[in-house]
Amino acid sequence: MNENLKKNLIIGFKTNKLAIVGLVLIAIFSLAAILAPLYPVDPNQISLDRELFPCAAHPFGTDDMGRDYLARCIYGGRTSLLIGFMAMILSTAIGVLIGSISGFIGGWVDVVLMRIVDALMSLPTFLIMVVMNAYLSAGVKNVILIIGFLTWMSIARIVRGETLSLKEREYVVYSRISGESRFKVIFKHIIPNIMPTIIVSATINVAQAILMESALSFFGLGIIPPTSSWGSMLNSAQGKLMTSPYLAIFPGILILLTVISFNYLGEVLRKVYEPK
Amino acid sequence: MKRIISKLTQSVVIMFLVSILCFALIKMAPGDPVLTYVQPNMSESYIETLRESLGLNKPLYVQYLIWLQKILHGDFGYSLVNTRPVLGQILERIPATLILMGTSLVLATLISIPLGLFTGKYKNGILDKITSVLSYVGISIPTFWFGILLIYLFGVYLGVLPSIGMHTPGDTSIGDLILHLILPCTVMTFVNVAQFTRYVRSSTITEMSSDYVMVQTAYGMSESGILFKHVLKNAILPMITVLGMSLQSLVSGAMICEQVFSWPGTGQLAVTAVTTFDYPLIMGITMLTALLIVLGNLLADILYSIVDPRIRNAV
Repeated sequence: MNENLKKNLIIGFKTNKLAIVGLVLIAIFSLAAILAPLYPVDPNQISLDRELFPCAAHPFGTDDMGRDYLARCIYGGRTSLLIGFMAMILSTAIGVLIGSISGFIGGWVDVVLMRIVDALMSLPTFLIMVVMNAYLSAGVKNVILIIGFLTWMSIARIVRGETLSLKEREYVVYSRISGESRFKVIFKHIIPNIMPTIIVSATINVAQAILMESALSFFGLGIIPPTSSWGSMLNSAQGKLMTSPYLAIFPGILILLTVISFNYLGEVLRKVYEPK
Repeated sequence: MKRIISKLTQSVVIMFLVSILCFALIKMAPGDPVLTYVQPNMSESYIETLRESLGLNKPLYVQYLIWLQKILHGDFGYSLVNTRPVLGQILERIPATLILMGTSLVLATLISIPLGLFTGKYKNGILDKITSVLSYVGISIPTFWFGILLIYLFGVYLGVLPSIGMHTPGDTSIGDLILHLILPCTVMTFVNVAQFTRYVRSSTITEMSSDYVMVQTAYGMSESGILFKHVLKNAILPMITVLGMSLQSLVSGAMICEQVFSWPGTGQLAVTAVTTFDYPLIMGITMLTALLIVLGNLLADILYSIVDPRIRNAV
């Protein structure tokens, strides 16, 4: 990262207090997810204190089996964030690969790849997610695969566009002429130069993945017990709205805060990288 | 014209790819499809004949072509669960979806255009700041969670609005429908307004800083005159493309919303189809929604080239 960019980044965050809040929130949630085993309360410890409202002993209350809800939220966040990050890595990798190949090689390869992107983008994502879930069994790994394979298209389009303009640059043309292979040029010259765009898309992609996972699990399809995520916690909380609404409020607020932080961070990064 | 034809061929190619995808998904479905027709007293040889008559022992591409031909004639097969034709089952659910999606789309457009125009004009004003935060909430909130919060607040806690279904049983009046529409429509409108306002706002800002606005200000034209006569027109043009592009997420959002509010539309049908492993029904819905999205995109493209001469004359 060059000095200029670093300076812009600092200015970007300094002028945008909400972005700092977002960054701090992401840091806290990620740390909580990683350090979850250090939290002294066992999330699976059943007790007779069922559906206790939030109090000193249980800051988030307890669920219908008397389990500490804060501990459950921490472990749920572990699953949700893991899925968010892994799905982002998968979709970014696919998107960057397809996009740069499509843009750099051009010709019929480009036409075929882009029509496939168009076709996938014409499918209602949620429906396909639900359909794929019916074929694969529920579980963290499959949810990551489903979301990863359904969200790479927009990154591919953006990367393709950037590649198209980059490949006309002199240094890229020069390295082609001097005999470097296409893939070497893509990995050595194209991808490093569009890194900022990729980072911005990837940040927003984490938000998308977390939202998708929560919707899938909420309908009892993605993550199912004994594993829990924020989405699956909302699924079980839905039936207890009458007696203990806080069971539905806490995981929802955690999803909202996480997603909004990633979206906001993405926006700030975009402003820093592409000043208009 | 040339542009429209090339877009049209593109759409056909996309639908072709979607159909291959759908066919592949049907073929990947676990279980032997012939088993759904088999009765306990059938002999081995009869099952074999049945398999032949269903075309299941033909090569895959022949099976695909037969399937495609049927689809093109509107034959989407029969539901595995209640053996009714798939197409009829989907068609009877479409009005409900259209009511919900249409109402919220119209409302969202009507709200977001003036809001985007105003916040773009008075950038960094108090309303702009509030709108900005709210629109971040709108694009980040899980649709279903917002739905259950509204159900809890208005349906359960306050008990003032119906939160489930489309009609009170036995009551088919418009008033009753509108009451049922309020909550699901609020959810979808809020989410859409959040997206659309951002687009209108940013294109307003771009337009406001363009040369012609400066020239007209210099000529002494009033600010509101410029805003409504020129900026408005140029700022809402991209909305056509945005609407076309957001159809995909719109349909997904509607599906989630329908499921949460038990709204008897195609989205709810889709989720039911998946949970009962009703593959013909799943594929029928997927094909038809994809067709809707592709047509919507095509329409947006054609409309845009009609209203914007710069694009019409390009290429």
